[in-house]
Amino acid sequence: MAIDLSKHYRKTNDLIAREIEGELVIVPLKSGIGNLDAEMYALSATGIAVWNLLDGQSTLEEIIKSLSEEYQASNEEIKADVIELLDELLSKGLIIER
Amino acid sequence: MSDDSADARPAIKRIDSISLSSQALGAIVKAFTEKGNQIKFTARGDSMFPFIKDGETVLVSPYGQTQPDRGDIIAYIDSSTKDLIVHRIIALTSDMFSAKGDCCLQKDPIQPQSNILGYISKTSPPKSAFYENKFTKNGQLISFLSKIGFIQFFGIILKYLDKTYKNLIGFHEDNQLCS
Repeated sequence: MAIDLSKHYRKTNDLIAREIEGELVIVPLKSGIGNLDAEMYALSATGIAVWNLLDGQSTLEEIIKSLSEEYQASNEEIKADVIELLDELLSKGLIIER
Repeated sequence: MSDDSADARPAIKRIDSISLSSQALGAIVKAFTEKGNQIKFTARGDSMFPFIKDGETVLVSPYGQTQPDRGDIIAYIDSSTKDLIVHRIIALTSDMFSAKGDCCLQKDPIQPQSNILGYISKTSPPKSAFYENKFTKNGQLISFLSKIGFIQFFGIILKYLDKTYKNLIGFHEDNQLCS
């Protein structure tokens, strides 16, 4: 699925996320049940910074701008990393378009 | 974020319950049950042998409107170690409980009931409906037998027979009886 910078993305409601030992552990819910052996993910510390901004309120472009200010890096550098992460989050069904 | 180090990049990786510490597993199970959701994971160790074997999948369900009862196999977080424990309730008061692994000699330290995350409502491979109803929840008789050490004795015999059978057919494993 192509990532569109002008779109809003948000986390799906069907998951439980908990920060543990510096990583965000994410477990999708299937019919209200989580299966730790079937599907469980760990998001890195910088991934958490992106994850926290995926609230459906800002466009991806705005999120990238905000991250580039926070991390004092160019938009282009941030964009490549964020698009790669969002692509994975979308393919795993952890985020959706607002 | 654009650091040379791979760790600095925003990344997501797949993990499984075996790779988590007991404390981390407890925190995740708690996150599920406090929101009223059920959670499945792989049980470790043979402390609940023969009812739950090492490597079996257990389903933890929150109590919701029901109350913990003597004989229930529960998942709880130990107050001092913060480890996730799956053992059977052998005694309880209005706010405290005592649990024990069926295959363990010693009882666990007394804990507040607020440490209970939920009860084991299913195991996989699946057992019979009789087993599910009588041995994992409200298993008062099993609780008594566990308390007097019978299950542990019974477990040793079953373990011995299991090991002997596996030796006969050439299957090898290195399991601890009570971990």
